[in-house]
Amino acid sequence: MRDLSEPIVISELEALSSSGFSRFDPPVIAGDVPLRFGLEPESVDGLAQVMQVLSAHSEPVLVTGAGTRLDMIKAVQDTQIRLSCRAISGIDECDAADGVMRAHAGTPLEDLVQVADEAGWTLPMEASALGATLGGTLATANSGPRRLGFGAVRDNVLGLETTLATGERTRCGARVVKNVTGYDMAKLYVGSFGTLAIIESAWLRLHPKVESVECMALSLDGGEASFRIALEASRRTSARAVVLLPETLATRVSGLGAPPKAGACWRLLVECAGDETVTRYDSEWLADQATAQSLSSQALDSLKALYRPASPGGFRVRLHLLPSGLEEACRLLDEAGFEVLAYPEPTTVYAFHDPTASRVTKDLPNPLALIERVAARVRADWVIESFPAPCPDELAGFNTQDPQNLMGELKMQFDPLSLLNRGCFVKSF
Amino acid sequence: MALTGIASKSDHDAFVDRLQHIVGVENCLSDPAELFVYGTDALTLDPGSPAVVVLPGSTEEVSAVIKACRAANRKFVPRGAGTGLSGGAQPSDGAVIISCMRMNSILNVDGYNRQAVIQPGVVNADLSTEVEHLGLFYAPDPSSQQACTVGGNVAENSGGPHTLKYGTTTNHILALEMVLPDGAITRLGSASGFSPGYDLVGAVVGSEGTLGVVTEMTVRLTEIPEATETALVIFDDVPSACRLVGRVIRSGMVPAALEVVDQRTVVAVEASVYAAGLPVDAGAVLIVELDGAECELPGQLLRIRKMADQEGAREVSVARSPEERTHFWRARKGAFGAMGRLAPDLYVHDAVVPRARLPEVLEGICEIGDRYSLTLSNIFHAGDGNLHPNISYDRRDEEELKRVLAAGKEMLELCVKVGGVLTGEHGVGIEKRDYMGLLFDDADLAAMMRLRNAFNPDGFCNPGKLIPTPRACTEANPKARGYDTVPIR
Repeated sequence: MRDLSEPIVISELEALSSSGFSRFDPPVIAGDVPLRFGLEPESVDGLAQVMQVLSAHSEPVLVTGAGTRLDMIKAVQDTQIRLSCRAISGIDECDAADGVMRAHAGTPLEDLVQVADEAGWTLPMEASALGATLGGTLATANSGPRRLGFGAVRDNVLGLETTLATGERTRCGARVVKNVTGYDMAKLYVGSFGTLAIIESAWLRLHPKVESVECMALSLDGGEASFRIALEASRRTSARAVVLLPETLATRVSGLGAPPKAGACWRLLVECAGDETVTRYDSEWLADQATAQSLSSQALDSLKALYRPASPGGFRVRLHLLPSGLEEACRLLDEAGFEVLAYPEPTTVYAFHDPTASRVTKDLPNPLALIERVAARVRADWVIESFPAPCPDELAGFNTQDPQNLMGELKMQFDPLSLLNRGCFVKSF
Repeated sequence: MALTGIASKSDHDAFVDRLQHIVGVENCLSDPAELFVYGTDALTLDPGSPAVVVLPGSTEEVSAVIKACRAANRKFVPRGAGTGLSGGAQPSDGAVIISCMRMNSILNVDGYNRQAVIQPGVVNADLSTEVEHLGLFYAPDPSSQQACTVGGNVAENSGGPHTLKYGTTTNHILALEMVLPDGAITRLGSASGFSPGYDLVGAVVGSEGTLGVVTEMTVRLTEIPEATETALVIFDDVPSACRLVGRVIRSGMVPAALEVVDQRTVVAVEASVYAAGLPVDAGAVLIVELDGAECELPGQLLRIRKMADQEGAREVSVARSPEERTHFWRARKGAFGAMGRLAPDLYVHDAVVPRARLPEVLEGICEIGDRYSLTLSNIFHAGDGNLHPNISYDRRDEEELKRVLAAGKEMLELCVKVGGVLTGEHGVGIEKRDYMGLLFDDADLAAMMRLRNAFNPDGFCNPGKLIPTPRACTEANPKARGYDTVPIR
C-alpha cells in the first residue's frame, strides 16, 4: 500500500476547519482493510472543500453513512481515509400538502419515518439497521420486504444533490413527482455505492398513510402449492410485503412467535395495507389458503435481525429471478444446506451461509460455487450482500450480464482518478 | 441540402447504396417527397431535412446501418412513430433517420411472470390488446397510445393519465437490447428487474435516443384491476377542482387518474366529434378514476363525493357502464383532436409543478396567455401536477408564432419559479433544450454530459438534443431567433 502524504493532506484539511469537519478513528471494515483517518464534514460546503483537497492530492476515500452496511463492501483499494457523511443531516422540508420531503444524506432513516408520519404520510423506505442513514440507503439501494408495496428505492427518489470527486456540486431531478427534464441521473447514482458521486441530500416521494395494516402468518408444507400461494398472496391488491422462510429460520427470529401449525416446513408472512375493506378481504383470502394467525404490525421488522453482517467465514447472497424460478431456487439452495428467505415478488431469494450455525458442512470447498450453480440453473442475477471475512481477492461481488465496459466508462467519466470507494462494487474498475 | 460529412453527390449515392444493401431498397427512403414527412415529429415548429430514412428490420440491420453511418461520418437519429412533442426525433440537417417502425413484433408473452419481450416498433395500445386475454395490460398510456410506439415511449419515458398510480415508462421496463452509437449490440438489465451494477436501464429510459438505439425491450405487464369506477366532477372554476385533487392526494387514496380539463377545452370538445355531453358553462371538469378490488371502490367513491361537495362541486356523475366510462374519457382523450377546430396548429406545452401550487400556477398561465393574446386551453394530469397548456395558433403567421414561443417560455419560467420543472412526459428534445439553464447550472449539465459521453462520446447519435451547447444556443435557440423579444400586446 502506498504511503499517504499525511502532512500535506492533513494539514491542508486542518486549514479547512473553519468550514467544519471533525476527525474520528475509523473502524476496520470488511476485508480487513485498515483505514488511518476518519473525516466527518459538518456541512455540504465542508464536504465539497474536503473533496477538493483530496482530489488535488489524488487521495482516495471510502465514503460512508453510518457504516451499518460496510459488510456489503468487499474491500477498498489503496484507501486510508474514511469520509463519513453522517454529520450532514437534517430535514429541510416535509411538504404535507404535496407528499414530498427533502433531507440531507446523514439523516437517520428513523427520523425521516417519524417526520413523515407526523405529517400524515409514510416514508416508503426501510432501514437495514438502526441508525442507517438516508445517504447510505440510497447509495446501496437498500430495500426490505416492503419493496412489494413501496417500490424500489430508486422509484421514490425525486431529486438529488451530489458532490463529485472533484468537489464540484451538482443536482438532478426536483421536488415534483413527475419529471423527464434531462437524463434521469438519480437512477444512476442510487445504488452506485458512492462510486460515482457523494449524495448530499434528496427529495423523496412519500406515500399516503394507509387506513389499515393487517399482518398474517401462514404455515405451508413446502410443496408446489405453497409457492403458488406465496406468489398469489404477493399479487393481492393490498399486499405490501410477503416473505417466505423455512420454519427452522422463522423460529430463530424473535417477534414472529410460534408457527400457526406445528410440523409445517415453511412460514409465509404477509402484510396487507390499504383501506380496511380490502385488507380484511385479503386477510380472509389468506386464511382460506392455509392455517393462519394474525401478527403484530411490527412483526416484519423483526426480520432485520437476519440482515446482520455474516459471522466470520460466512456470507449472505441475494438472488434475483423470475417468479417461475422461485420454487426451484428455494429447493436447490435448501438442499445444498443454505438457509433461505424469499420475497415471492419481485422475486428475491436470500441465501445465508453461516459455518457456525447453518447446515452447510464446514469443509465444503466453495459454497459460493454452489450459489453460482443454482443461479445459473434458475437464471438468477446475484450479489453478495455480506462478504466473507477474510475475503478472497478473486471473489467477484456479483454476476451481471450488463456490459462492464459501459460501467467502467461511466466511472471514468464521473471519477477518472477513482477517488470514490476505489475497488468497491465493480471490481474491474 | 447540406450533407454533413459527405464530400460529393457520388459519395452520397454510394452511401445510400450501402444502406439499401443493408435494409433493402424498399426500406431506404431518399426521395425528397418521402423525406418531407420525416422533417419533424409532432413538434412542427422548425422542420429539419434528413438525408436518408432507413427502416431496418432487425437489430443486426440497425447495427449495420449505424456502422455504415460511422464509416460515412454521418449522424443518425432514432425514430418511432414520430408522435413525440419535443422534437426528440427531429433530424439535424443531413442526418440519417433510423425508423424502428418495421421492428414491430411481440416476441414473447410470459403471463406467469407478467412480462413480454417486444420490439421497439410495437404500438403501445396494441400491446395491451395483445395481452388482455391473460388479464394483463401495459400500464403506461400516453394520449397518443393508439399510434405511438413503446420504443418511442422508452426514449421519452412517457407517462399518461394513469401515471399517478402506475408510474411512467421507467417503472415498466425490465431489460433492454440496444445498439450503441459505435454499432455494438449490447443488453442492459435483467428480466428479474434487478441487475447488479449501475442502473443502466434507468439511465437509458428517457434519454431521448441520445445514448443509442433500443432494439428490444422486456416490459412488465400489470394485472387488469378487478374493478374500475370513473366519475366526472363538474366545478365552476379550476381552483376548486385543484383543491379537490389536493384533498384526494392527502386522503390516502391513490386514484388511477385525476385529470382536469378547463372550460375552454370543454367548449372545444363539445363542438367536436368527441362531444361527451359536458356542460359548456362548467369552469372545470375533473375525471376521477379509481381501480382496485371491487370491495374497496364504493367506500372510496363515497369519500370523494363528500370531499367534492365540500369543495363546492356542481355535480358528480359516476359511469354506470364501460361504455359510459369510455364516453367520459372522450372529453379528455379527444381534446387534442378537438383543438384542431380552433386553429391549424397546436402547441402542446408540458411542465410540472408541486401539486399544491396548481391553482396559482394555472392562474398565472392564463394571465400569460391573455397577455400575449393567445388562444389557450388547459388539460392536465392534476394528480401529478403535470400541466399541458395548449396554445392554438397558425404557424404561417410568424408574428403569432413568436408570441406562442415567448409565452411558452414565460410559462416555463413561472413553473420553475414555484419549484416545478420543464417537462413531465414530453421530454426536452430541441423544444426545451435551451431552457435547461432555467433549472440546471453548468455543473449539473456537465454531469449529464458525462453520462452521454460514456455511451455516445462523439455525439453521432441524435445530436443536438436535450443538453444545450454553445452551438445550439446560437443556432437554434428561440432567443437567438428573436422569439423572446416580441412586444407584448
